[in-house]
Parts: sequence; C-alpha cells; structure tokens
Amino acid sequence: MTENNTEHFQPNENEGESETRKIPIQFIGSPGEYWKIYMINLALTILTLGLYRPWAKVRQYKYLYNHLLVDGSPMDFTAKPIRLLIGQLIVMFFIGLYFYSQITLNTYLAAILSFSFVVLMPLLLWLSYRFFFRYTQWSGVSMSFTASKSEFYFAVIGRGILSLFIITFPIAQKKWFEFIGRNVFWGNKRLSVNASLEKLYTGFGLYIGMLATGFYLLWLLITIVGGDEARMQTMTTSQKEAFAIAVIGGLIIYLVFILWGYSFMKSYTVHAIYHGLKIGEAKLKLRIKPFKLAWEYVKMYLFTFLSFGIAYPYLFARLLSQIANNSHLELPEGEDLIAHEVDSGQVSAVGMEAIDEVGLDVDFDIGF
Amino acid sequence: MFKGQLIKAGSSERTTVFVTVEKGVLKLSNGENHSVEAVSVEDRTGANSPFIIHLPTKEQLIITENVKEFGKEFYKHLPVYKRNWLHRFETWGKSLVVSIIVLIAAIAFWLTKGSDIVAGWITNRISYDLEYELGKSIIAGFKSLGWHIMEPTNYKEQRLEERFYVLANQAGIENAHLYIVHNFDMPNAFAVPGGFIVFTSKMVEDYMSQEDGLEALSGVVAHELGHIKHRHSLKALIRSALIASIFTMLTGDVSVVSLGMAQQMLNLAYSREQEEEADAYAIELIIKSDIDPDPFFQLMQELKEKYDIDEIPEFLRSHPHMSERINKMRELMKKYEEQY
Repeated sequence: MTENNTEHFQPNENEGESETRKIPIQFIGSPGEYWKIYMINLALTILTLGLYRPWAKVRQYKYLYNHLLVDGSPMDFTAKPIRLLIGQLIVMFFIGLYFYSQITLNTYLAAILSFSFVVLMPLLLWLSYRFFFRYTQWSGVSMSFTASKSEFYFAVIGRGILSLFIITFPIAQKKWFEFIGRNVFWGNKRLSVNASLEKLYTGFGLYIGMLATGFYLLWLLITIVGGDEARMQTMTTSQKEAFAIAVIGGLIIYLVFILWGYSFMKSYTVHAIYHGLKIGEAKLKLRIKPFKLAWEYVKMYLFTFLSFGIAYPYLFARLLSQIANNSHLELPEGEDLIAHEVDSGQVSAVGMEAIDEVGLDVDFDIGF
Repeated sequence: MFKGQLIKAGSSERTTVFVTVEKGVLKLSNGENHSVEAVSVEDRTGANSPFIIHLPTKEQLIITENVKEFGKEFYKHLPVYKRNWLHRFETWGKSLVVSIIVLIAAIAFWLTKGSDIVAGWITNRISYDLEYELGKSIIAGFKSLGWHIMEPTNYKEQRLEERFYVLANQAGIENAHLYIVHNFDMPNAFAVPGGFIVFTSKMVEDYMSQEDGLEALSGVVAHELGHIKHRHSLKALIRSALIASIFTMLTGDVSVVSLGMAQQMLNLAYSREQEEEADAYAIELIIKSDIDPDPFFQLMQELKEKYDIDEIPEFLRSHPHMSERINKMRELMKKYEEQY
C-alpha cells in the first residue's frame, strides 16, 4: 500500500493563485521541552568540564530540526558529536596557547595569535557554513555550501566595506544574504535569496529612528530637569535627587527605544530573508506581519534580559515555532520538490567551534 | 500499524508506508522486512520526536505520528545496549529537577574542590624546569608592563637577599630568586611560579630599618617559600586559567582569556588551605633555621592593625583571619619546638 508524496500537498485556498501548491511547514516541538533539554544538557556539560558540549549542541540542534516538519517530513542535523569534539579540542589548544601568552605576557605570541585569528576569521566562518549546511538534512538529502574560499573572502570584505557606511548597511545585508543563498544547495537543488531592499531599509530606518528618538528624549529630560551647568551647581539636595531619578528614568526609556528599534530591524531582516527564499522553484512565504514579529522579538529580548538569559532557549524555540507555523512553501504546478543527494564529503568542525568561541554561530539567523 | 514515510536512497522521493513491529522485525507495507537490530535510529530528543530510521537498504523510514506507541513497540524488541539512554533520561519526568540540582552542585564543585583537584593534577605533571621558564617569562612580562622590578641593589635589600638564600637552601629550593618591585606604595610580597619571590621596596624599606626587621621579613620569605615549595602559585594560575577556559567553553566568550592574568598575580587567590599550608611550612622553616618567629608575628599583627584586613567578612576572604593565623602558628611553633 503506497502513495506518492505529492498527496501531502494541500490545494491552495486562494483561487487566484490556483497554479501553485502550498507545502506546509510546522514546528511540532514545545518550547518548554526544549528548555528542559537545554538545561539537562547544560548540567551535563558543566559536570564534564565542557567535554560533553558537542553532544549538547547536536542534541539542541536535533530537537529544533527534528520537530520542524516540511511537508510532514522532519529536518535533521546529522553531525556526529565526536567530530565537533575534535574541532573543539583543536580550538581549545589555540585558546590554551593564547592563555599561555597572556600568563607569560608574551605580547609577541599574543599578537601573532590575535592577528592570525583576524586573518583566518573568514576562513573559519567559511568552514563553519560548510559544516553547518553539510550536516543539515531534509527528506534524506543533505544541504551543502559551495562558495569557494576566495569568493567567501571577497564577500566578507565587501560586506565589511559596505557596512562601514550607515546608508549602505542594508545593501551590505542584502548582498550578503543573497551570496549565502545562491551558494547553498539542497542536494542538486539550489537555494536563492532575493531579500527585499525595501524591507531591509525599513527595518534599519526604524532602528536608527528609534535610537535617535530615544536619545533625543533622554537629552530633553536631562535638559528640562537639570538645566544648564550654572543651574545644576545651584541645585538643592532634593533637586539633585529628582535629577538623578530623571536620568535613570530617561536611560530606561532610552533602553526601551533601543530594544524596540533593534526588534524592528531584526523582524524586517528575517522577513526580508525568509520571504525572499527559494528552494529550487518553491518559494517560502511568511504569513506573520513584520510589526507582529517585531513585538515577538521585543518580548523575547525583554524576558531574556529579565531572566538573565535563563529563559532564552524557551523564548527562542517559541519564536521559531511562531515563524515556522506561519510559513509555507509555494510550489508552481508541474514542479516537484525532489532533490538528489550530492556527495560533498566530510567537513571539519574547527570553523564552527572557533567562531562559536567568539559568540558567532551559523543558525537560523533568528536569534540574537 | 503505524503510518510512515519511506525515503529512497540518494533522493528525497518519498512514499507512504504502513509499518508494524512483530517479533523484532519491522514489517513494511511495501513488502520489506528488516530486523530491528539491523537498522539504526537517529538520536531522538523530546517525547514526540519523529523516528528517523536508517534501513540496511540505505533508505530512510520516518515515523512522525503516534511516535510514543511506535517507540514502545520498537524498543521492546531492541537489546538494552542499543536503546538511547540519554533520550530516556531527557524524557523522564524528574530529569529537570535532577539536572538543576546537578547543575548547581557541579558549578559549586568545580569552582571549589573540582578545579583545585584538576589544577593539582596538571601541576604535578609540569616539570620544575618548565615552571622555572614560566616564572622567568612572568618576571620579563612585569618588566614589559613598565614595572621597576630588579634584583636587590641597596644594602638593606642585599641583606634580605642573603637571608633569602639561606632559607631557600634550607628549603631545598634550587634556582630561587629574589626581586624587588619599586612601583607600589604598599608593603607586600608574593611568589611567582618557578622559585621567584617579589617584595615591594616599601616592605623592605619599612621593616629592614627596624631592629629585628630581618627576622620579621624572614618569616615572610619562609611563608612565600612555602607557596613555592608546594607550587601554590602555579596551581592557582592553572586553576584560574581552568575556570576561565570552562567559562569560555560554556559561554563562547573568549574575552575572559584577556583578563591580563599576569597583572593579577598580586591578587591571585590562594585557597585558605594553601595559606595555612604555607604558614605551617614557614614556621617549620624558621625554627629549623634558628630564627626567632616573634618579629614575624608582630609584623603580621602590625599589618592587620594598619590595613584592617580582618574587617573583610569571613566568606569573602581567601586568607584566614590574621589573628587566627597567628594563633595557629604559635601552636605549631610549640609543637615544633618540642619536636626539634
């Protein structure tokens, strides 16, 4: 008793777009369960002095991936923890060497190590992308990242130059995501990203606008309550106390504006990338509006901050669930979503571990 | 009967199949039969995590519905060693409580005893020659930071140096060196791995001008030699590096490595046990060397009164209370006097 997988595709409810088929995306995990697994793995990591971390990392990725169903089939993260451990040990050796240079105040060695790290950073990031995609799988077919080292170096340098100027920052983002997108394959099917420049500029503009407004309000508050330097020198103790409260209040308002602004930028960026993503001929559609998504980001950042980071895994899984459950793929009639495996060999985990040590990571680009 | 998807080898083409597990055999509705021992299952996380099963034919069988019931049937036929114990632990009802207790206990253990044990183990595997080279590099590093650190030059410093070598010989420490640092307006002394002891010029100036100052400072030298003898400085350095590296691994924040550790040598926290060990060693050494310990006790008393160091709450202190230390050393002195 067999049936073809195309039977999973739901007919489009919108008659005007009847030439496309909707492929559902679902997150079937629970943020609470993810948080629990995160804490258990954290306990094991600390208990083993960090040696368990590769296993913890793979299990966390696996949880998020395995519960993300595309057309009813789960994604998978197939990296073997032992490979990550080898990568981690190599990275720890260099960190140890850096420790040694710090302990002995060997500035020469420290400078060589720091300089090498900066120069090799794009290479490590490249390795990291290769590793991350190589071990990402859907429906039995792995992904791959095919950009060459030199292309990647040029892309990193180009992004850096464009990011130097405020006005071209969204262009840098667009070029970067498009570069990553066109170099990712799912089996023999190419991905592509056509990030909307309008959305990227809107998000960035809102961020800068909120930042400027918050700063202006802070300055206004300080000026109204504090006045000029001469007035401040003649203040009574109670006036000084009122001034201090006003400054603290102003700073809190300023932080709220930064939080909102950053959430807007993140939301519009995620919207621009994901809404412009194609896998072969299948287009990803995000049904959640950028303003609604920004509000979800505000909540995530706020509660992460208030819980000193403890709630972050829960909030991240919750956000991922909201994005996934409000997304679907649209496939033109006559096209299929079938890819064939392309053997891309083994990839070292050194890059992934190295960039993780400096707080960077290749992930869904949804979190911080 | 469970509904599943069968993915062709090397392709994403999927077909729906129905699966049963009978007497250790996975029976697929397309006619395929596979022993549960011959298949491999991707690690599962979460109670409702799908089953991704690799079949010997290189196909993948995916079960996303009724996974709990499928799991019961599937694992029933699987040998114990093949079951995923980590997944069983993660999905156990009390695992979170157990983990949080383990987490707190593990952090407390590693920050106290655990890091000490590991640091001690590493220290014992480092040769004295390497420790000496490390100490030399640290001294060179102090100089590169602009510290005026040099070998004894004036008469008072040289007198102290003579006493230093007598005590170092008595302690059997080869390659011991005394340095004087001129940057600090505080009486202090500290040990650097490899047999290097650094006194501030203020310490030498203040005490060598006193009548029994040499005896007083001999006690300090003996105490620091105690740290050297027991390799406390190296151990403390490794311990702080260990804690920083664990923190780095956990948080992914490599900046903690750049805390300027050598600059913190002065503040390196020896444990209370290490301080007591160095005190006990100092008493033994000064008695063996026929040095009067009373000036040393007076010096400690003076430091206590002058700098109010006993005011720091007990739980925040790396050193035991000065008065407590003096009392303990006096007791030890009586014991050793009877012994020698």
